[in-house]
Amino acid sequence: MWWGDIALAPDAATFWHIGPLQFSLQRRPRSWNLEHARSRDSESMDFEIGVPELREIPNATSLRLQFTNSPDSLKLKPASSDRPFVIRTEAPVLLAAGQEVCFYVSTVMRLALSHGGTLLTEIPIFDLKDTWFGAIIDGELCYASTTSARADFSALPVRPYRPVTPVTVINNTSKSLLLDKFKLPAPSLSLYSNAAGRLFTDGVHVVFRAPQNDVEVSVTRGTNEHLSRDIDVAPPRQLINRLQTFTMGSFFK
Amino acid sequence: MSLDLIREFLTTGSGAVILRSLVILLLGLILARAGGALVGNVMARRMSAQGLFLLRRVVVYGIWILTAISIMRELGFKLHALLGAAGVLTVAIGFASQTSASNLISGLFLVAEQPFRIGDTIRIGDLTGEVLTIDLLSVKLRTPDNLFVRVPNESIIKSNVTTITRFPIRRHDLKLRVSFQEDLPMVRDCLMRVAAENPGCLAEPLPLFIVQGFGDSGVDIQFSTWARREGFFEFRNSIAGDVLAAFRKDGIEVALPQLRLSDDVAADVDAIKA
Repeated sequence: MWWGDIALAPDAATFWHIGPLQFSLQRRPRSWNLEHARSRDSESMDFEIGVPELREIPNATSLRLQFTNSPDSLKLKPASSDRPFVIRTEAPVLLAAGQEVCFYVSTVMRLALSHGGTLLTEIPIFDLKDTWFGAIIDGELCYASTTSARADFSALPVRPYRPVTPVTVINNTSKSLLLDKFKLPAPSLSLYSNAAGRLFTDGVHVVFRAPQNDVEVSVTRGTNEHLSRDIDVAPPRQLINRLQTFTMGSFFK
Repeated sequence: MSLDLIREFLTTGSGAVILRSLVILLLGLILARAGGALVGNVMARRMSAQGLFLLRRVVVYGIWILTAISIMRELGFKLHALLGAAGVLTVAIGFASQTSASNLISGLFLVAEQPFRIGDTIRIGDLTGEVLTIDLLSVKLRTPDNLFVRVPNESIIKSNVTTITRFPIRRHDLKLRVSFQEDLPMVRDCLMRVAAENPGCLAEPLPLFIVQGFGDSGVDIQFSTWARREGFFEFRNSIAGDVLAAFRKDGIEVALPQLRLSDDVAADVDAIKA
């Protein structure tokens, strides 16, 4: 696993490069200094962890984590998104009547930096664009994303900072279903890892029922045929309650 | 000797009346304060801030009025005669305080209708400000340049009030004028690219590109984009800067007022005659 405790000797530093995110941590007698910057390349495959030197990060944002006496280590952990995603398919997908498919959708997560069980700060790995989902008056602010909606798991590129969500869509109506945009309730999904360190989330199960295209959305906890749940990484930020499930009647629009 | 006199004064005649009145006054004040606090604590989660504020005032003033009536009875006032006189007085006061009564009733409507809440930013005519309190007679605002403004409720009821902070997202309409020589699809593509690359611009609702017509010196365009309410002004500045930069990069000319001058007066006269 590339996450865990980051231990530094006094005045030592470490540099990390995880996809679009570069950050460095430097331990001082009474503080840990964090510098981070993000590129606009959401597909970046750059990956360097725990380089024991202080590298200059261009256009970095600084944050000083102040303590009475700086601790020996901080904990770095993946964290799920703080808002749902509105995901557009790169090309429209038509699901025939009576068919079922499982799409593998990857999303960008965040990194949580904590000490002694207390969250210090969260660092987004990529600056996601905001978007609005639903009616103008009572919709919801989400992050915008796109997906290739791959049904073949092996074709999915492996990017350590993008957890994979299996989205199962079942069309129980009598008509074909056009899927070009959907809302993924990322804050309601737990984050897991398999033994190889590949991150994935709970699955999302969507059933369309006749006669009025009623949508039933549920979260399936646990494992997937391709991803074994070896490590629990992060619990969901919020649980889906009845109200939210009802709201997600407009899961696909 | 003196203690006996005090005891006699307090237990008989006017002394006892004054003592009982003082006790009622004290109890009334304590009860009003406790009642207001109790209502505040019990209803805090069930009511809006201004509704709670109003309810507390009703409770406190109600207890004060009951206390005053009790004290007057204790002091020997004949209340029915007083109420008769109050009826006549009410007519006189009614004529004298029409504006206040109008503001009071408007205030009740404002509380019931809730077009805005404490903390909202509203615009009434040319005035924009954050709502500090919604009282029975007036609404108090704090303007962006940190001035305190009292707006009578009656004028709010009569005016168009815009609640700027009602919805979480807002649309920004940028008015542009480009030269007649410009290729409009190219201008549209350029603006859409600016919206896609600006981090504050929402992906959806989609940006709008509207040709509003032909102006004196160029094509009038409205480019509408959506952004979060928080940081809206920063967004307005950033999108304007991005549009100018993109126009410069793509060689799109912003139209300037044009005046055609000619030194061939005879030819111009002929042209006008023709």
